[in-house]
Amino acid sequence: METERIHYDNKIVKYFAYATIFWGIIGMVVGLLIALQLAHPFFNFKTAFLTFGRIRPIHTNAIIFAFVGNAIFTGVYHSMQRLLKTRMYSNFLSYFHFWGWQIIIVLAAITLALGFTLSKEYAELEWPIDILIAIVWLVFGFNMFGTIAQRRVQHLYVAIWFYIASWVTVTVLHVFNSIEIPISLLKSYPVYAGLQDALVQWWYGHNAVAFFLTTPYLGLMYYYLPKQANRPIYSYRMGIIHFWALVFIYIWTGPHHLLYQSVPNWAQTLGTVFSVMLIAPSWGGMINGLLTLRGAWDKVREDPVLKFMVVAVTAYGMSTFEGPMMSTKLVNAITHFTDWTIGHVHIGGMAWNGFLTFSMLYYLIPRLFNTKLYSVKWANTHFWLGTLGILFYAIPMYWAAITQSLMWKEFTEEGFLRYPNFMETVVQILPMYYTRVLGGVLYLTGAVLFVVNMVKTIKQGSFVADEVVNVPILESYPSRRMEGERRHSWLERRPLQFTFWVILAVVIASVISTVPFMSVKSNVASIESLKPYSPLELQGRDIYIREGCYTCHSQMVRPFRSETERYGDYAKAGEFVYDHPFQWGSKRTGPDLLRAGVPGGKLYKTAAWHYNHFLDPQKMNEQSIMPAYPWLITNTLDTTSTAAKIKVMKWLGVPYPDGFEKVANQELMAQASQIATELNDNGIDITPDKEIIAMIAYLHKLGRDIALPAASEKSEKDIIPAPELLTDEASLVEGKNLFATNCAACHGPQGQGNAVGPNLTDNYWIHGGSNDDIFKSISQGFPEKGMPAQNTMLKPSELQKIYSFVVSIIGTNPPNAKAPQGELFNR
Amino acid sequence: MKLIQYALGEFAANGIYQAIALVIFMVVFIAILIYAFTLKKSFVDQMANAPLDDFRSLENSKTEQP
Ligand code: HEC
Ligand code: HEC
Repeated sequence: METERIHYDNKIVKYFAYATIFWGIIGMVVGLLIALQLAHPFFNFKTAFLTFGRIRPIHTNAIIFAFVGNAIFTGVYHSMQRLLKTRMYSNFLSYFHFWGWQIIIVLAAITLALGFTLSKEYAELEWPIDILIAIVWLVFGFNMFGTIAQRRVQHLYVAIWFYIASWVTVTVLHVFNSIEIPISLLKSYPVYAGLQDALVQWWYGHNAVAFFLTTPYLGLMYYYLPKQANRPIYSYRMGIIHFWALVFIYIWTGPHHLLYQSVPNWAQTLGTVFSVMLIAPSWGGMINGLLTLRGAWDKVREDPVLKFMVVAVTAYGMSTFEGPMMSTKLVNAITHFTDWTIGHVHIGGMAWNGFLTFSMLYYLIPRLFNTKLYSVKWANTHFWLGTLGILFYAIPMYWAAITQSLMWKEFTEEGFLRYPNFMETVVQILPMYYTRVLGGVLYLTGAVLFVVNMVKTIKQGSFVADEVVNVPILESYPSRRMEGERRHSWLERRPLQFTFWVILAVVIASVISTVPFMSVKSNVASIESLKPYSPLELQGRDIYIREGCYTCHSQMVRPFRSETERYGDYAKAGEFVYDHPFQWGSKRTGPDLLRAGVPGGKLYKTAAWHYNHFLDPQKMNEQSIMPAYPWLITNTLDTTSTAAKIKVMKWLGVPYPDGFEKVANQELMAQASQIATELNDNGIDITPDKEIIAMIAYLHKLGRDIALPAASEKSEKDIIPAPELLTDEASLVEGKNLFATNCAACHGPQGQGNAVGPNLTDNYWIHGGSNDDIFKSISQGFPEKGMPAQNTMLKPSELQKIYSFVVSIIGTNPPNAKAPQGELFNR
Repeated sequence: MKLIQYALGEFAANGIYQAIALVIFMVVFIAILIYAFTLKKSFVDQMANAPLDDFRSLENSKTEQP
């Protein structure tokens, strides 16, 4: 048989592998630092660029884009050449890609430490870096497709499919989530606001996990697992199904990050349904991986590389089971905003991504250096240290999550919160935070051992920079460019077709799951009393963003009694329309701040209190784990940016009066003087031009405009006539179903009442029993008593059906009915 | 535009939207199943073995001393 020589480029693989190891260690060390900070605030060192709010995004970005990113490129550049039997398309593009990516990482670390951030999780980087990312990513794509075009095999192995899909989707996600309007070289506002911003962000955020942390790694799994086990994948057909089902379903699931939050119900349902469906293909993939090793388990026992792989693949299965569970409303109500989320991502990050990366490098480095692994024993030790590290990390997180969540939700018999002071729930989980540090130390120790092992391996081998292989010449080279052939026929049709289908799947799903939000604007009840941020408040908000307060504080009170009792009125979609970007947050290490500015509200604190709290939180609350922000008191507020900010906001549709940007700074100073005077009156020596003044102004703005009194006064007087009572079977059945999803949690499945809400089937009413009264109770709710208003969540047609159903069950007398409350009404 | 927005809102509320989403998904999924199971066995075997034949021969490769 005729053969042909191919030169594989190993040098680029080596570069990316080194970068993976280097950034991996850095990312883990930073992770350890923030774990320490949460255990004890001392580790914030009272230094701006070392505080938790700024360091946490560095950790997440370093792990996702630096460690995992470089690992993906290592695997792609190595496996693609071998699977396609060709060298990478262009040396220049390869190295451009490599150095471009490393520069981005360095810039990211610097800008984040300095507080330049968009505050959108995993998309924090400011616009110039976003553009750089787009360029480097396109170069990578060009190099990849070029390589595919000059391949010497006819068909693409499924791993390559995963690479292509990842590239395509990440491109789409990055572009659409990063549409932002620059204000200056390093500051911009996203075009989306509030609800829309949240939905786009989590459409991105979720799929960044899917198409950066999952699909490329599945590609690696489909290549390196068979390689190391030296046997083909268990079922190639299953691989095909796994691929298409994942690519198609993943995109739909974003709204599961926003359950019970101010997004339309149907979007939440869509998120839940598709998340649950995701279990099937994910488990198919896991089983496919594990069954590849059937009959070879004796090998697994001896070979640390396979051990790492088995744990990684199993963790993939665990995470993809846990994720969908957390996407159901039942579980989500408990796990969201808690350390459960953190536990979940670390099973994914440490076990799936981390272990698969280690196994890939254990496989790859000795081969690149034409030698054997220096010490199999060390690798085994690494495996056990890593596994223990994961357990010591994850178990305390789940424990902390359940403990804290239950404490947040616990009521006394008299109906008060049992732990009204947020700090009580923090103190309780501090031991868990210390244990987590131990988990991190174990994992990192393992990783250091891995590095030493790699260095020794590299020392004893000799690097094969240019690997030459002889492959049999195919009868027909369908894709290679022949002498004199034209370009477009050279770009072979098949991969293009394939890419087209991938794009189609991604786009359909994206459109279906995001376009209806165009309709949201008109659905959102506009809140008339809501005013745009004053210039000072806007500046304060940008400091809040700069310091990463959202990494510990949510601004999203969900419609649970436990939350409205603790924080105040629950969040309405309409109150976020001026929020570029949104600040809902995803984790409550500290209390929710949505209602921090409601005078007389549960969270309200005076300016002087805030001043002292920022200066030294531990003085106000000995065991607080909030970092101190002394520099807010010494830094002078930069007011040169005010005009530009107002201009961009106006352009984005915030209704500032014409020419406001010119007088904005006067207004800013006036408001600042007021706050400074108040502080001075309390014996605090401060001038109005300090950053802390703006921060206090912002905190006092939160929730102020839509504070309850005005709203409830109105609702007492107004009578809203009930719509026509429906009696046909179909409407009542629909009403019943709507009741089951929206009301049963608090009123029992048959309306019999439970610990939360009253019995609706008797004829005793707290708020009146006429049809009009009942309709009003349902549509406006009693937010202060724990029943959310339904007219902000349901459509009029749905309200009418629920209302008709509720009227129809009066007098049904279901079992276990709650005792009557209120007055008897004669029907 | 208003009309489209209104229609989308109503669809969403009445579950038509979810129904459409589900139908699209089912169709695609069944298409994938059919595609996967009608592939020829010989082809599937050949693809499954793709990562394994490396033709690894180092004699011509350049090596560098560390
Ligand atoms: C490491 C997590 C963390 C970070 C970062 C953080 N906080 Fe806190 N914050 C807490 C905790 C825990 C508490 C509760 C204990 C306390 O009052 O100190 C708290 C309390 C607060 C309170 C008082 C709430 C109340 O009880 O009325 C305010 C206001 C506040 N933080 C604002 C901020 C702002 C503004 C930032 C950003 C500059 C910030 N926090 C950053 C953890 C954090
Ligand atoms: C988060 C819990 C919760 C949910 C969800 C909820 N309710 Fe309520 N509901 C309550 C509470 C608590 C009250 C009692 C308020 C009070 O004590 O004044 C109440 C009161 C009512 C009343 C007035 C009863 C009376 O005696 O006057 C009606 C009617 C009602 N709910 C219907 C509904 C319907 C219909 C739904 C679903 C669309 C629903 N509720 C969803 C908690 C809830």
